[in-house]
Amino acid sequence: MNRTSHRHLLLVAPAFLLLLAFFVTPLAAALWNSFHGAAFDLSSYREAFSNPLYFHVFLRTLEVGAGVTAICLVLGYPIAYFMTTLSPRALAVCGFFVLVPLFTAFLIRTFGWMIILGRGGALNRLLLYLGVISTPLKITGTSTAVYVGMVHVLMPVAVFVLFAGMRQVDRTLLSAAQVLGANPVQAFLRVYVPMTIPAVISAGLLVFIMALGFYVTPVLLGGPADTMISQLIVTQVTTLLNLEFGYALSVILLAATVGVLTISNLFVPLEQMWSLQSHEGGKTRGWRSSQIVAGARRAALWIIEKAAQLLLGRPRWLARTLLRAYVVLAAIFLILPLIIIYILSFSSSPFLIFPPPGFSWQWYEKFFSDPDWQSALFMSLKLAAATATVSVVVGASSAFGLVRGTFAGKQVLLLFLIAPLLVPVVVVALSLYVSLSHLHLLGTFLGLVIGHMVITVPYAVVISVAAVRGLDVNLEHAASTLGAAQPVVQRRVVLPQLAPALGTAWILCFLTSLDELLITLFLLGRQTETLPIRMWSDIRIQVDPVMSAAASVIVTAVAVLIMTSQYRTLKAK
Amino acid sequence: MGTTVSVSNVTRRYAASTYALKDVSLDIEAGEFVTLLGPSGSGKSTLLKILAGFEQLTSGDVRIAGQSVIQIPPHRRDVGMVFQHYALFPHMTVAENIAFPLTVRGMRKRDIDLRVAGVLELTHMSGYRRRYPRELSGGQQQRVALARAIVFDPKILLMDEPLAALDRHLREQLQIEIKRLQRQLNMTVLFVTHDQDEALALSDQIVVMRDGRIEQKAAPELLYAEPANRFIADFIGESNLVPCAIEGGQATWCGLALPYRPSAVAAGAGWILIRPEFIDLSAERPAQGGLKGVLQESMFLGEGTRHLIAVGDVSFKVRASNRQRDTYRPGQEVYLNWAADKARFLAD
Repeated sequence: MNRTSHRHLLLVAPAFLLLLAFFVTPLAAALWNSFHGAAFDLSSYREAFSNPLYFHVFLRTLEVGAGVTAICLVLGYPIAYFMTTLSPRALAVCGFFVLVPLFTAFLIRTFGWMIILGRGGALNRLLLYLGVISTPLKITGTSTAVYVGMVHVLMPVAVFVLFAGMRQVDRTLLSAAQVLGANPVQAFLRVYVPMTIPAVISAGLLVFIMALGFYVTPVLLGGPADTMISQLIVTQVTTLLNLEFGYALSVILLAATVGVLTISNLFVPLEQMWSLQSHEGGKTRGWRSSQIVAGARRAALWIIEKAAQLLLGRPRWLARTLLRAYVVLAAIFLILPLIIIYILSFSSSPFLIFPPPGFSWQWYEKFFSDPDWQSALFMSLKLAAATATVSVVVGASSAFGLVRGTFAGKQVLLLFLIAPLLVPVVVVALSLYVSLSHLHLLGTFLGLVIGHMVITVPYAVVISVAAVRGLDVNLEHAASTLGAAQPVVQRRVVLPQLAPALGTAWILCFLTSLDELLITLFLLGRQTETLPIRMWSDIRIQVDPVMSAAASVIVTAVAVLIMTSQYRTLKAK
Repeated sequence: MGTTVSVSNVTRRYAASTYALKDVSLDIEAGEFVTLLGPSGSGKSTLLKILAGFEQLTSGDVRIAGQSVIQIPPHRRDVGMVFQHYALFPHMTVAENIAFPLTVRGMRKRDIDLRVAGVLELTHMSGYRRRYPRELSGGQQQRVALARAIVFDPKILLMDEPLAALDRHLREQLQIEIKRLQRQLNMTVLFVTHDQDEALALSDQIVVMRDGRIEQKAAPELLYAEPANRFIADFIGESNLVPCAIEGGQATWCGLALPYRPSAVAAGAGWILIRPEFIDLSAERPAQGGLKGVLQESMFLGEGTRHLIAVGDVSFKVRASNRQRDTYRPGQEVYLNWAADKARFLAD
């Protein structure tokens, strides 16, 4: 190995060590401790599998995860497709409706659904007013509410991943298919859809893994029957202080995740999932279905084609109009809880009544004058800014090492750096809890920054790798022939080109940290509360409209950040 | 600004036995326009990169203006380079791009402005100084890249297939511009291309490369008329190569005598090279000599016509001027003839 390889490895080192110390090692320790180390006592596992209550929770978690994933894919696919047909300007507008919910805290969005779906909530009042029902429906506290809440949270993720994949598909192939005699439906089903399968698998996998680790939504919208595994782990660790059992549950959750990843890796390589490989068209690993399955598929395809052609074929504008109408409805669904929160924040009533009886600024006044909310807001901004800044530096430096370096095992290292994104958050939170308590960093600001970095650095790496890969090495060569020494090349040629991507990475890390609840819950100790923690305790104790004022402030901040970055990309084109 | 360049015994080896360059030596005179021509993988770009300083050499020496440069990093070599895909800095305007080499040298603002205005004038890009590269066409971008590469008076100008990404019309136009600039500024230029027409049109000297070696270095006319071997004959221009045996100063092919310019080789196997434009075509048997063949195809090319004639199992290419146009039908019997001094023998 030569000198430059060493330098490149050195660039990757910070991110690598961060994850090694606070993610991998503690997970290994948790595994070791889950069977009481050398004693090899499997009692925790025995309890987890023999107790019907826990077993039910496992099944429930898998069931909800699979259900939510399926719904997100079905609902998200048409939206993602629609987005690929838009002009840059229209795409920026449409993207706004997907991105703002995507980057607004789970907590805030779930809060919005609490207002809409509650017993005295907006939906019940509307139905009562219309005379559809005579007594309010019980929606909050049922599985329906959990599904609605989770789909709302995860659909933007699905749309985003699907869109990223579909954008790679060459649309002239659709025209080619039609020139060759396929009707539009056939062209779509036989040419377009098969090419988007890798994107569908990627999106499904990410949504499924995120769903498995869900915490906020089932707690706030579900009933006792909707308990999911994260709730169990949080209770075991933070309330019952039964660490071994918490470890065992996490290990089981982790094993399920790894199983899913392994299976999906057979179809779409993991590297491709985060667009970490240079794209040469979507690549699926081959698998042959049996004759019977193939025959059945052909027959089904034929029936679907005929039916779709019959229904949508004429008039020709029908399919397009239906798609548009659907996208508008979906946009309303995505943005509705946020709008409800906005409206309620100006309410004159101290209760969450919808529609509000009158207008007032009082909740904003309270939010900006209450020292508790004040310090929470300041703490969150400080934490998010620190996390984002360090994450971008660490992420960009490892991206350089990974893209420019020529050492062996680059792909594996890259996967290692994004591993925290492929594991349910609650598992990450637990491993941080273990390692930081060993280092006596629990309840310190540094501890919180480290904790948030474990999930923000992977984002920074993903974005920076793409950006560094996009750099034209010839520009650097040109700069040197023109007389610029290496530091000047970096400062005047490389950095300005990376600036937009690094800005995006910073915003993404900032928002992720600003929204973070679960990890903070484990690590906070006696530190000043962050905004999500403050909201969390508020929601659970007494819900009052200050919460909606606080949420509105955050949503506004997110919306402004996203509009700025959308505008910048649009201008750059 | 012309400077001499001397490449002596340069070898570039990657693994134990994979050579990018094998013992290459080349001398370039001041103010000379030299083209490296060869198929991809022949080592021409590697040689250019070694001159610019992006590639290290395994052995040998490179001297610019008599001084060895192999220990000097790229940014202190004072070598101008134009890249195939322009390599303009996307975040800088045209003027900022061109000013870049001057600002990194710490030149005064007023002098920079003067120089930038000067090269913009020279490249006919004065109206575009505030534009960004993405707002320019390919040809305009290449003019800016050229302006940027010469603004700091480099000792030599390296050009790595600078016109390959442009369409034919623009390419011809820029060829003329490049040639004009090179004469006007008396620059030493090393130009890389795989396009033989471009090489013939621009160069004082052409260096043909293959598999990391120099095959021949000669002026365009000489290279065309007297290629050193079959590879060069094939690579440069169109050619008819007829396998033959030499015995007692006679070239014979399938029992037929082929006229050719006598060479030093008295006996052996090889090829007779005859360019398509030197073959005369006639419907009747000429007074002496003449090969009988069957016309297969005629292609009208505008300024000339290209005929394919089968003689035995060899297909001859014949290029006839259209000043007086004879028409032949496919399948017709025709006779080929050429002056002996236009045909050359190439040993195997």
